[in-house]
Amino acid sequence: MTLSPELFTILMFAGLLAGLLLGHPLAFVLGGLAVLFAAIGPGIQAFGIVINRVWGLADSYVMVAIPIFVFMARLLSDSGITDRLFHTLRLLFGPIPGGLNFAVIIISVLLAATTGMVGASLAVMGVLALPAMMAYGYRKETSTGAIAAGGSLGILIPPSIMLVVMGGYASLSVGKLFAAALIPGLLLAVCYALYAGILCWIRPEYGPPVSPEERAQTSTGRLLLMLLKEVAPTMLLILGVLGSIFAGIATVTEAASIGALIALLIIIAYGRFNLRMLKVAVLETGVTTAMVMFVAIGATAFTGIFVAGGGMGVVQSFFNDLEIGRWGTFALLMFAVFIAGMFLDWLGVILICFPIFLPIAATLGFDKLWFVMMIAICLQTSFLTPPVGYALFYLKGVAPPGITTMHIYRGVVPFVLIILGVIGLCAVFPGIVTWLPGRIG
Amino acid sequence: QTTMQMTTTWTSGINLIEGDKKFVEIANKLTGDDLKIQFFEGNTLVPSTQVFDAVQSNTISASADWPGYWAGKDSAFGLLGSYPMLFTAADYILWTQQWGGFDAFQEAYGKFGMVYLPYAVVSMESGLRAKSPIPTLDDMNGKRIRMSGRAQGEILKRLGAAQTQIAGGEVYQALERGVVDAAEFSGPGVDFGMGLQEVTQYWMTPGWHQPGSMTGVMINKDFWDKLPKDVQEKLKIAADATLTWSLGYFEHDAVAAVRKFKKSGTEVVQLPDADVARLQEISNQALVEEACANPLFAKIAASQVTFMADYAEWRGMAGEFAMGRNLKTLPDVDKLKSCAG
Amino acid sequence: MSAVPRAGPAAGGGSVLKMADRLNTAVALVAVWLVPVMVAVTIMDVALRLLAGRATLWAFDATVQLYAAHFLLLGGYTLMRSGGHVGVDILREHAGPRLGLVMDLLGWLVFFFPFALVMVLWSWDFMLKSWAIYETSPGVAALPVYPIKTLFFAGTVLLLIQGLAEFIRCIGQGLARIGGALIR
Ligand code: NA
Ligand code: NA
Repeated sequence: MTLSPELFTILMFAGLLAGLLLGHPLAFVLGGLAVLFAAIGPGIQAFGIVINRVWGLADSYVMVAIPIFVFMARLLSDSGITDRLFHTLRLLFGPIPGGLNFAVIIISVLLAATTGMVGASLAVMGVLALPAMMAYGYRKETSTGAIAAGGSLGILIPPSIMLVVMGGYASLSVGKLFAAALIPGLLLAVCYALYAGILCWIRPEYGPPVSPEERAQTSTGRLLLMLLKEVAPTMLLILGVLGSIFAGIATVTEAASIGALIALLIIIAYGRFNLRMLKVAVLETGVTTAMVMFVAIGATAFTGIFVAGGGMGVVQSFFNDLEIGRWGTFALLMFAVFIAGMFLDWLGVILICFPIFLPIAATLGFDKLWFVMMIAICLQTSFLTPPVGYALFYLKGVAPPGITTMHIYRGVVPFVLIILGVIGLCAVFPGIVTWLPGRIG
Repeated sequence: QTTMQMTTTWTSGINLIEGDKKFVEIANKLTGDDLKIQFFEGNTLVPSTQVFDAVQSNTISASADWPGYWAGKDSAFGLLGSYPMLFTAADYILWTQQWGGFDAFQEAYGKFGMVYLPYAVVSMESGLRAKSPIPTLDDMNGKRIRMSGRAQGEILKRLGAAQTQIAGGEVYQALERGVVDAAEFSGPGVDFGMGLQEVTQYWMTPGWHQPGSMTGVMINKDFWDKLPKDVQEKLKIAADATLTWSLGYFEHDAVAAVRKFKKSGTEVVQLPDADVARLQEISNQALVEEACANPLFAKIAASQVTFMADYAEWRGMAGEFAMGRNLKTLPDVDKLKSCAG
Repeated sequence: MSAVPRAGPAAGGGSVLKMADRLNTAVALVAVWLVPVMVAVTIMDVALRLLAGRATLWAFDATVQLYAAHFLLLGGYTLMRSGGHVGVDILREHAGPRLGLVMDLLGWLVFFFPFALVMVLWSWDFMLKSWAIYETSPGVAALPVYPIKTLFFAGTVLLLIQGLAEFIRCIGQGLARIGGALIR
C-alpha cells in the first residue's frame, strides 16, 4: 500500500504498453499485470478478485451466444457456402470497384441488428468475408478496416448489450436508448460505405472490379439463378435469426442456436455435409471462442485490480477539478472516453466514466439521453483503437495468414476518424440522436 | 486507521444501493478516524453474483447483498432475504430485533466465516408485469415467467409455470419481445426506472413472491474480529439507524413510482382473495418440504413461524391498528393545510 | 496466428513436451463437442416451449454450464495451437534472434506464469469451497455447480502445463535461431 493510487494507475497502463510491445499474448499480459499489480497494490488477497471475475464470465447467460454464433459462421465457411456467396456478390456488384466492401457493411448491419455483441459479428465477418476479399486482391487495410468497423456496429445498433447495461447504470429507458442509437448507427454504416466506395472509386486497385470479360462469362439470367442459390440460404439464415428474436420466439442465445441449426440444414440440403467438415468446424469454433474468452478473462482481471487499486478514484478526482466551459468540458469528456477506450473494454469505460461524467453533464445542462448516446457512439472507437481494441484482436484471431497487426492498425484509422466526425455531427445536430426517441413518446 | 473495502450487489441504477450508501455514510461518521469504509458500487470490483465468495475468502472485507441470492449455497438464505407469502418489512424488523432473527443471520452467514448486519427493509415488491393480464392463478399455467428465487421457482412449478432467471439487464427486452410472458424485477421505483411501463400494460398485485425483504452487509469474520469492540458497536448502531431510515425511504419512493405507473397507463390487476389463500397453502407446503431437507432451513423457518404464531394473538387484537393500515376515510387534508397557514 | 512462429502440434521437442500436447489435444477433442450439445439443448427447449407449451426447468442453467466448461477447458489447447493467444507483433517481428528471445522470455516469466500460477492456486480454493457445501445453481433447477468449478480448476492446470511446454520450446527455438545466426 506504499504506492499512491496515481502512480499505481500510471504504472498499470505503462505496464500494459510494455507488455504488448514485447509481443506477448494480450490475454496473459492483461492477466499478468492484474496479478503483479494486485500484489504490489491492494495486496495478494485481491487475487481472489481475479478468480471471482473470471468465474463471473463463465457464469453468464449473455455470453453463451458467442460460441454458438461462431459455430454457425464456421459451419457456413468450412462447408464452402460462403466462398460461393462472396463469389456471387462480387459478380453482382461487378463493375463497381470495392463492391465487396458494400456487401461487408450491409451484412454487418444485418448481423448488428441480430446480435447485441461485437465478438460474434466480428468473428462471423472475419471468417466469412476476409478470405474472399484476400482472394480477389482487395487492399488488406481497407478490407480489415471495413470488417472491424462494420462488425463493431453490433454493439451500437439495437439490440445491444451495451445499451441495456447503460440504461441500467444511467436510469434511462432501454427502449429510448435503442431508438436513439438507430439513426447514428445507420449513419455510421452509410459513412463507412461511402468512404470505402469513394476510396475504391479513386483507386480501383484497392478493390479490383470484375473485368467486363469475366462478367460477360456469366449471363444475367445465370447470375440471378446464382443469387437465388447462393445468397438465398444466407438471407434465410439471417431472417431466421432476426425473425426468431423479433417475433419473441427466442432470446439471443436461442436465436443463435436456431441459426446454427439452419446453417446445418442448409449444408445438408446443398449436399456439403460430411463428418470431417463438421469435426473441423467444431474444433475451430473451440479455438476461436477460447481466444475471444481468454482476452475477456485478461481484461476483466485487469479492470478489477485497476478499480481495487484506487484507479477509479484517480480518474474521478481529475475530472472534478476542471473548469473549461460547457463545450470545452464536453470535448474533454469525449476525449477521455476515447482514451479510456484505447485501454479498456466498453464495460470498463462505463463503470469508470458514468459515475463521474453523468453528474458533470447534468450540471452543464446536457440532455442525459443525448449525452449517454454520445458516449455510446464514442465507445465504437474503443473496439478499433490500439493497444486494446477487441475488433482488432478478434479479427487478428480469425484472419488468414498474411494479415499482420499493422495492416489492421492502419486499416482502422480512417474509420475511427469517421466516428469522431459523426460525434461532431451529432453535437451540432442533436436531432440525429433525439428525434426518434422523441417520436416514441 | 483501518480501511474496510465494501462493495454491493447493486449497480448505481438500482435504488436499493441507496440503503448501502446510507449505511456507509452513517458508519463513516460514527467511526471517525478508527475505520474508513471505502465503498465500491456493484460490478466494479467483482461481478454482483460473486460478492459472497469474495467476502468469504476475505478478497473484499465486506459486501452489501440480498441474502436470497445465496440459496444455492444454503437454501436457508432464501428465508433471510425474503420468502413468498411470509414476512412483511415490519415482520423482518420485529423478528430481527426481538425474536432471535439477528442470531439467525449470524448462524447462516457464520457457517461461511462471515458476520451479518441487517440494515434495510423493503416492503412488498411490485409483482408480475405483462403485456396481457394474468387475472387468476389458473392463468399462470403454461406461462414462462421471469422471477428470481428458488422457493419462488418451486411455487411457479406447482402452478404449472416455468421459472426463468434471465439477468436484470435483459428483462426489458425479454418482455418487449415476448420471450417471457411475464416478469417481476423489483419494487415500483426500480421497475419504473428500467422503463418496464413501456413494454407492459398490466401489473398483477400483490407481489406475493416477495412480500417484504431484508438486506444488509456481510463482513468477513477475521476482519470483523480484528476491529476494536467500540468500532463493532458503532457499525451495529449504524445498521440500526439505517434500518428505520430504509423503511421510510423505500415506501416514499414506491408511492411516487406507483403514481408514475398509473400516469403512463399501466392497469393494476388484483389477484382474487381465494387465489392468495391458495398461494399461502402452496407456499406453506413448500416451506415444510424444504425444511425437512435442510436442518438449518428448518431451524430458521421454525424461528420465523414461531414469531408469526407468537405475534398472531396481539396482532389479531390490534387488527387494522397493527403495523400499517389504510384509513377508509381521511380527515380533510386541504382544511388542515389551510389552518396551518 | 502470431507472426513469429512458435510451437505448433508438429513443432517437436522432447517426449515430455509431446505429452503436454497430447493431453491438451485429448481434452480439446472432447470439450469442443459441447457447443453442438448446447445447440441441441437450446433447440429442444425452444421446441418444447413452442410445440408443447412447456419449457424445461433446467435448459437455461445447463446451457450456461456447458458454455463455461467449453471455453474453460480449451485454454491449453488454444495456447498450443497458436503458440499463445492473440498478441501484438509490431515490435517483435523486427527484433533479432537475441533480443527476440529475451522479449519472449520476459513475456512468459513476467506475465504468463504469475497469472497462470495464481489461477491454478486460487481456483483450487474456489473449487474446494463449492464442494464443501455441494453448491447448486440458485434457481429451482438447482443444478450442481461444483463439477463446473472443478473443470475451472482443471482448465487452469491444463493451461499451466501447456504454458510450461511452450516456454521450453520457446527457449529451444530461440537458442536455435541464435545459433543459426552465428553460423551464417
Ligand atoms: Na446490435
Ligand atoms: Na481500444
